[in-house]
Amino acid sequence: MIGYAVRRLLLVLVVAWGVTTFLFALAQLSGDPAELMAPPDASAAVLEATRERLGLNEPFLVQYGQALLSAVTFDFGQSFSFGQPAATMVMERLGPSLWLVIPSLVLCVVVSFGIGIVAALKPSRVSGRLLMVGAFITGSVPYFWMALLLVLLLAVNLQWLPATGSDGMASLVIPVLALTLAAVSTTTRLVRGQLLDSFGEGHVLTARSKGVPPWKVLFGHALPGAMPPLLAWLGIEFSFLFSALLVLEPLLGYNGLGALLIRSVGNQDFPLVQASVFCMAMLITLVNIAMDLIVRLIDPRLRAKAAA
Amino acid sequence: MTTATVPVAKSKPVRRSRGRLVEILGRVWGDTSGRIAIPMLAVLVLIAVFAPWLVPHDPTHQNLAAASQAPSWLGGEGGYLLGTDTLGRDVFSRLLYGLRLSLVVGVVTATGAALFGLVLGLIAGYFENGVGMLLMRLADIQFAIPFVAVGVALAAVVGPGIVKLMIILAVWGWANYARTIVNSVSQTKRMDFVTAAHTIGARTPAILFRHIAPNVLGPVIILWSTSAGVMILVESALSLLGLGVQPPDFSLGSMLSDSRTTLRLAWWATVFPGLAIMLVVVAFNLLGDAVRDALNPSARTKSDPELW
Repeated sequence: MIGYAVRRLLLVLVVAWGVTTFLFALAQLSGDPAELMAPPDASAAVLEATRERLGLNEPFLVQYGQALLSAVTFDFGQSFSFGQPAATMVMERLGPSLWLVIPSLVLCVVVSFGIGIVAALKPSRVSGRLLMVGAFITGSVPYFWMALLLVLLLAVNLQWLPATGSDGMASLVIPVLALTLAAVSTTTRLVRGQLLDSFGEGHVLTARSKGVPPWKVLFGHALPGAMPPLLAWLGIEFSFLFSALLVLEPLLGYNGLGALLIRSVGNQDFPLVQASVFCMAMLITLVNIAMDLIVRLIDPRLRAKAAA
Repeated sequence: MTTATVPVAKSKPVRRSRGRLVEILGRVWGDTSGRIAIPMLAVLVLIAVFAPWLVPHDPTHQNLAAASQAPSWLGGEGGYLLGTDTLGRDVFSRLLYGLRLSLVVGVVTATGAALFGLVLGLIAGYFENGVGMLLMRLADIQFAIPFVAVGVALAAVVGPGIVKLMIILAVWGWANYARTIVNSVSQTKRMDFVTAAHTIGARTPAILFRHIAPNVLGPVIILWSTSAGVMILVESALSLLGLGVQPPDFSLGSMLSDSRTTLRLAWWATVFPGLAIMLVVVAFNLLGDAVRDALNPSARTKSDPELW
């Protein structure tokens, strides 16, 4: 188990190195930041001074070394367009983004486990089938379009909520609903599928035949057996939600990490791009590794396999 | 075996492989999802192909005198079936043309990613300790970066544009395919028929593509049919951010980008393109489900054990 944990955590280093290298390559390809920063009529001397200040005159390998160092120390320098430390700005914006991702994930778990369990209990009945058709259609709705429809309904027509912005709880409602609806479909289908597989397994059939009450069989025997792949899936869902944030935040004028990244890409503000992509990649990797480790811990089948 | 007595025994292998294809297509058609998906896709493709003859108006023609007209069945003037946008362009005509680009993007990028992923997956599974290891770590790194972040960052470097976006999508998409097939490639590699091919002096590319590839095609095709819908969604999302199609060209996604700020004036210009994206995605997802069941009958929810 410890060996496995260490190996998984080594992957964090590999990902950190890979992401840093990828971002460094992008920055190298994207032209001269000094020209973007300086006023249009800046003299050659000013440009040169800016390059010197940003360390752009250093040899290639020194710059690469600095990029790696900045990832290790999580210090990506000053943002070109805001003049503040990029890492600090990213950490400030991470909070608002997590305020969208975590409620969406919790809602998604509640709804999809609820629907998935009901649909798995009556797989051949009309009710069970209708639920799955519903989940299927929800899964095909583009989440960004859903967000626009919610704006149209809740903000423009009913005027219950602000259409855009990020002040207060009211501004969370539309993005969280859109994210949840986007995430719920696949999770529901997976919950149902895993449960149905679990129902066919020996320990569940045994418990049932011994006369254990149905709810106890479901929550005590069938659901635990179905959990490991579902937990692993939630890690993947987490990264999907971050991807969706990048579209939803600028669309809804929400001041989170996603909107910051999209804006800094537009400004060619590389310290900020590096800091925000690095931060997201690390978060996604750590959450997925945490899920893997939890799965290892709770699944006796994997433990037995590892011992053998 | 009864076919052994058929006189034209020479053409047997060809007929067998065609028979297998027909059998799979038959199973896709026999599946409820398949029977909905195939006509749906057929209609969508026909509409896209014959769009120039079907459109009532020039999709790029601006007519400010008829701006923001409601759909004709909601009392709008000028007889526009789905209304006009704020520049007076006919939403229905734009929808039919936008569908073309979305379908092409979905099919071409999914196919590109599948081919790329198949080749790299074969290599990764065959040379599992050297190149394979590197490739799979690369997949891990890619997995940690939200795709939209990659699309946005690369678009900032190479400039926005639909062809560039399609290349990025296809190249970045390999990892999913490679991850899916790498284990079965390395298992297949150890089978007797591969050893036999080695013994008679078959070269590595021949072994990879002629002997191993056919055994891992199933999952690749399954993934392909589900990822076409995903690719269409991603293209729409990135076009929504202004990074995909550039005016005067347009896709269903960029139609949303044009209309999202004018929800109050012309909701139909947002609602209908989104609905069209959803229909296309539904069709591909249904196809994906049907293909999965046809190629992998054991994954189908076997007889749905009803326990309660």
